[in-house]
Amino acid sequence: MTPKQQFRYILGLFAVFIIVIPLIIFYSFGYRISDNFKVVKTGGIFVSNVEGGASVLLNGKFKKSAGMIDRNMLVQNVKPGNYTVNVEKEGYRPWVKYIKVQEQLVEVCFPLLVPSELKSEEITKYIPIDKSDLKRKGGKRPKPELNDEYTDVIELFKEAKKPAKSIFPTWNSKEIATLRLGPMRKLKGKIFLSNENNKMYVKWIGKKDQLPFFINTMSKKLIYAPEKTIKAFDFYPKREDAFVVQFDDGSLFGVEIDTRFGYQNSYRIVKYCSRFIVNYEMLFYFVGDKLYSIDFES
Amino acid sequence: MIMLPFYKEDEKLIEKTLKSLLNCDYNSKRLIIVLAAEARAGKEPLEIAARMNKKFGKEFGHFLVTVHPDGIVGEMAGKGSNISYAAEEARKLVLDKKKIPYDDVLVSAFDIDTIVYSQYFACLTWMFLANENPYNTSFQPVPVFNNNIFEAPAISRVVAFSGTFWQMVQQERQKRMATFSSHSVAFSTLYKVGYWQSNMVSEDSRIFWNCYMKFNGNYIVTPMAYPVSMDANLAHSFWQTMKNIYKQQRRWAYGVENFAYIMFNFSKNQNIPKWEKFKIFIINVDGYWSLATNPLMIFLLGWLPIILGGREFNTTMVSFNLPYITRDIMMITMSNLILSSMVAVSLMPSVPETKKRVKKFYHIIQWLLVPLTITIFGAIPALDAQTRLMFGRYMGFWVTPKHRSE
Repeated sequence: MTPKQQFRYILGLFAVFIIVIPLIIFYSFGYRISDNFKVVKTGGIFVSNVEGGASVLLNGKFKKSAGMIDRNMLVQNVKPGNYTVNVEKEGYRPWVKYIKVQEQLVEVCFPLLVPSELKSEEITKYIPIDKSDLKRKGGKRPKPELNDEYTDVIELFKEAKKPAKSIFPTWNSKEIATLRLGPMRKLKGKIFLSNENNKMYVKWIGKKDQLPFFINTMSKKLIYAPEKTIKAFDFYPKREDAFVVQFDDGSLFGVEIDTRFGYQNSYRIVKYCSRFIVNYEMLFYFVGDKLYSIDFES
Repeated sequence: MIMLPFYKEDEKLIEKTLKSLLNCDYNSKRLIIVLAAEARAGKEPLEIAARMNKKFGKEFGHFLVTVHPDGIVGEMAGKGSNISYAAEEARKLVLDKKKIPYDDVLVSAFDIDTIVYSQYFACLTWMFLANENPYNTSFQPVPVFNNNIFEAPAISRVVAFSGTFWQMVQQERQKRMATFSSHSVAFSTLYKVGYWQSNMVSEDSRIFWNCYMKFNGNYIVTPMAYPVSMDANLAHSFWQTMKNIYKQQRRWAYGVENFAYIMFNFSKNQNIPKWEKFKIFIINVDGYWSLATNPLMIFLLGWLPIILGGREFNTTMVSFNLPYITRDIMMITMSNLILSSMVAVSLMPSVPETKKRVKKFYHIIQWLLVPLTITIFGAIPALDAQTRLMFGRYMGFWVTPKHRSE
C-alpha cells in the first residue's frame, strides 16, 4: 500500500469517526428523530429481571423479550409520558406497573414474577418405608428413621427465633445493633424492613449513591399497611426488593417493596400455614404438624 | 555477518539455529558467523561455543567466537554490549584481516533462538541491492514466535502472536517503524555509528535512532515482509512462564527510554525538518501512551462512570446505554480476533507427531484471552517500565530464558 493510499484510508476512517461518534453520543443521551424529522428527547424503561423468557409490554404493545444471558431489558425510544408496563411469562402471574417516563431519564422496574402454580412438597418427619423393603424383612416394621431434611428445617425454625448474629464483626456491627433485629425487624444486605403497628416500613442503611430505585428515599418509608393483621414477615426468597408476609388468617403473600407511582403488586403464595421460614431460595411452612417446602428456583 | 549473542542457553538450541543457517538457500561460505559469548556466564558457554566452532566452523565462510569481557566500565551487561564488542572483534579479526570492504557486508543481529527461513538471505540481499539508499536503511523481518508454539501455554501463545501481529502491522507503516529484535543493517553504517549502544536495554530500537540522528533524519527501516522464527516464552513451570512474559514485555516497553534520546537529539540537530520532528514526536507519544493506557481505559471506561457517576447520573439514558454501547463496540472490535486466529493458525508450523492432541481448535479459542493479556502483559508492564524510568530506577537487561521441551 502506498503512503497516499494509506493517507486516504486514514482520512476516510477519520471522517467515519467524526460522523458516527456524535450520532452515538446523541443516541445514548436519548435524542431521536421523530416521524416529522424533528429531534426529540426520549426516555427509557429498564426492567431488572431474572426470569428467562419474560416479555415486557408498554401500553399493551410488546416491546422486548429477555435474552438468554442478559435477562435485563432496556426499552428505549419511549416518549415522555405515563405508561402501563406489563411483564409477562407463560406459567407466571402477570405483573403490572404504572410509570411516568421523563425525557433523557430511565425508570427502573423490578418485576416480581410469581409462578401461577407454586409446587409445594411435603417434608416428612420420618423417611417413608419402602413396601418392597417391608416384604423382604418378613413384614416386620422397622424402626422409623428420622428425615435429615426435616430436622435441618426444624433447626432453621429454632434459629429464626433468636436475634440474628454475625459470626465475624463487620464494619457496621454497631449500626446493625441499633436496628434491634428480631422477628419484626429484619435486614437483608442494606435493606431494613420493620413492622410497626401493623405497618411495614423500609429503610436503606447504605450509602446514598447506592440507594436502590425501589426505595427511592433515605428516610424510613411506609410501604405496606394492610387491613388484615400481620403475624410474621421475611424477605422474599432470593430477593431484596420484595417480602413475604403472613396474616393472622394464616395466608402468605408475596409483596414488592416498590410503591412508586402508587401501585404495589402482591400475590398470594400459600392459602394457610401456621408458621413459615425463608432460607435462600426455599420457603418452608407448617400446616398443622405437616412441613412443606416451595423451591422458588425450580 | 550473523551476530548470535548468547548467555546460558542450551547447546541444542544454538545448534538448531546454526543448522537453520546452513539449510538456507544461500551459499553458506558467504556467511560470517559470530557466536558472541559472555564471560560473566562462566565456562560452560565457552565450551559450547568451542564445540559449535568445531562442528560448524568449516561449513561457513568464517566462524568467529567472541567472549565479551565482564565489568567494562560504562557498559550495561546485555545483548547490546555483547554484540557491539563482537562486531568490533569481527571487524578486526575477519573483515580487516581478509580485507573485506565494510560496504560489502550486511550484518544480521539475531537472537540465539532466531531461526531463518530458507530465502532469508536471498531476500535480504535482493532488498539491499534494490534499495536506492541501502546504507541509510535497516532491514526488518517479521518475528514470528512459533519455534516452540506447541509447548507454550495459551497465554504465552497469544502474547507472542500479538507481538507478531503488531510487527506485521508496522511493516505496512514504514514511517512509524524502528528496528525490533532481529534485524539487518550494512556493516559500514554500523561502523559509522559505533555499533549498538552498549549501555542500553533496548539496543535493537536504539540503533535505528542512532542511525537516524547520525544521518540527519535520512534513515528509514525497510520492511522485509519476510519472517524469522523465534521462541515464544516458555519456562519449566506455568507461573515462571507468566513471570518471564511479564519481564520480557516490561523490557520491550522500556523502549520508552528512546523518547528522551530522540527529543534531546532533536533539540540539538537543526538539520532534521521541524515537521518531521513533530511527526516523530506525535508517533512516539501516542505509541508509548496508548500501550500503557488503552487496555486499561477500554477495561474501565465502560463501567467506571456508572460506579462513580452517583445516583443522578445512574438514572440517565446515557448511564443505561453506556454498558450496551461499550459492549457493542467491543463486539465489533473483538470480531477482529477471528481474523487474528485465522492468521495465527496459518502461521503455525505443522503439528508435530508428539503433539497430536493439540488441536487447532484450542489455538483459535485462545484468542478469548486477549482482554486479559493486553492488560496484564501489555498495559501493566508498560506502566511499570515507564514509572521506573520516571523515578530513575533504571532497568538492567533481563535475558529472556530460552527453554524448549524435549
